[in-house]
Amino acid sequence: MNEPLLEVKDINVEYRLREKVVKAVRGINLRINKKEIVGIVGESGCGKSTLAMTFLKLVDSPGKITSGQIIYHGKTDIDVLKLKPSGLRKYRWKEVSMIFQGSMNALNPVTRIEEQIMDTMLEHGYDQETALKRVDELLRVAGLNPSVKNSFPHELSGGMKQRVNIAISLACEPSLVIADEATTALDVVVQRQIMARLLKLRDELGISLVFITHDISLVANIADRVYVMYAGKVVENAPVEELFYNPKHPYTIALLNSIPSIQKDKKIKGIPGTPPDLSKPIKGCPFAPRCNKAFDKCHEVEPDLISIGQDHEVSCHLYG
Amino acid sequence: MNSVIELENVTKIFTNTQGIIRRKKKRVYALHDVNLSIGEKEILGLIGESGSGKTTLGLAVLRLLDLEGGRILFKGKDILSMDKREIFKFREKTEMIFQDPYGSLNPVQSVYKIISTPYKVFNKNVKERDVIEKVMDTLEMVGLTPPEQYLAKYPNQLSGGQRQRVGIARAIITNPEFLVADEPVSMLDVSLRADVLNILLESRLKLGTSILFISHDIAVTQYVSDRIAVMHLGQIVEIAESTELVNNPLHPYTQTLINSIPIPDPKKKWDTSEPKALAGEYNNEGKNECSFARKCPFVMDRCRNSRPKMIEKGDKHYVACYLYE
Repeated sequence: MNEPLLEVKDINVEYRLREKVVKAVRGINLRINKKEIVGIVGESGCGKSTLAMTFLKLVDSPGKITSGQIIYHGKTDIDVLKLKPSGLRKYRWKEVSMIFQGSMNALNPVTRIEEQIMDTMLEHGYDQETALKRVDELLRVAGLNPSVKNSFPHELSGGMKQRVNIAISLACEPSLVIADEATTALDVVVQRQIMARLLKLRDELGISLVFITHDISLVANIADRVYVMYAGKVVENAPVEELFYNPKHPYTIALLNSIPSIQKDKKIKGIPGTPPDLSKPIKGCPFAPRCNKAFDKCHEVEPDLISIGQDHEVSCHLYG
Repeated sequence: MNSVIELENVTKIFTNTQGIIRRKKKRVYALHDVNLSIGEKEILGLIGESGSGKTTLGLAVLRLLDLEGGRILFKGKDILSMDKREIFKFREKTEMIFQDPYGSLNPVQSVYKIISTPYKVFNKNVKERDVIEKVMDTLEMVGLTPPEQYLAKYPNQLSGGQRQRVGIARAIITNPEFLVADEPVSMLDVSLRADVLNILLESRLKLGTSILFISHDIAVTQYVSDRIAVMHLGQIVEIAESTELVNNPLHPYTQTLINSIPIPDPKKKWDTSEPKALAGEYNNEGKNECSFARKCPFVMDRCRNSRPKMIEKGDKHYVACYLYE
């Protein structure tokens, strides 16, 4: 269980725009184990989607991965960021695939579902016959009736299209699937159905999953480990129970206090202020201006991510 | 409790023309015989999946849509048969808060202009000095303090949460008796939602406004609402007080919905069991059947042949389902 599958080491990403440079991801370390479900949560603009893009080396101009390393432990160890286009072709989708945010709108409107799923497989070296056979199976795994393959995207509902994307993400039998806000636009019942499918896939095929979302409640219900991101950094990471019952970073605590739950009758509180502008240099802890526990040091020195207790890391001066 | 808004058998039909050569008209019942009342100072939550008719209902009660059947009463008066003067009064007393804080503010108007306009429309002979004072008071109420700092700002200088507060300020400056808030926080970041919800709760306390709170997020709805109505394909299937509805859902659709909500507690971790309701999507075509019959795991013959009526099941808990008759 604790064998690493993907290791992210000190990764930095910048968006080099004409008038400014936005540091979207600032030195993130992260580890995804085999068969593990990892949740990455944070507000919009905290860099969580950018981080996910680096896993597949998908960051494109004006974005640039300025430093860091991503190691994938497959049959052999792969240094993802050093891959040449031909190597990337073998890595993407066959090892790691992705369900993109709003990808239900990314299906080609004028080709049938069958063709779109097959395209993916044919591109990655499956022969016509096997690919054709696999389409039915993939649709079934994603919880769809195989007859859907003859439909065009506009004939399907949002939930069905999103499931087609799950089928496509699984087409080449990857070991890791990254879901970037995969169910944000969907109804809660459909979301629950899709999550149940993905959890089943983890049990049956032994794949690892990464969920990137702003919905911290959803993460509580599915993830094994949670990374909380703020201003391009990981501010806290721990196993899910530890993070929810024993949160340490003031941002995590504030985030948990800001969401209503149908189980508890409590007054919720927003977090005052807004996240910092990542195109300007940040002095001290990026959360300090919004933090109710900030003291002098917080405004001067940026805290490092330190280990506190078992398997629990936090970057906050309160604990260092 | 006196009701501010009352809906009696309200039906709204949209027609959809399909096909180029053989034109076929398809009728979709966005609202199908809806009965509902919203009391004084009450916040009524309206939940349901997308396409269930929540927004249509919100528009209908503000007289922004014609109806195919039924009546909507505002303090006992039918809003569709009002004369011009009455409509003007009605417009002063009812307001709306929109979902999109980026699209619902005029980008070339200052905050002062945006908020003061509705006030000036309904208070013709008021001095500019008093308007400024009123605007400042309202800004303070929605937590944009100190208000002087915000008067001259333009929407692009504000964050999403601040914009939504301006939207609320614009809606409450006329002291409305009834507000429709259509997904007011769904486009805001999680950390900002709480404050906007608390402002809505406070303004209800201060102004005594009744609010129809439309949302697909049940946890958020439960937080602000006194009662919750559940909508499915143009029909209200269940109404109860918020905590009662969440803790003791009766209708199979409500049960599916409640079971699917993520709960921020790892002890409630999900397994691989899927929600009971069958998959598939369809529209309400006005057939004489329960709107949930085609998906319901407990469907019986009579569910397909007639529509269940709302019955009271427990204290102020109403449900439209044959399982309880």
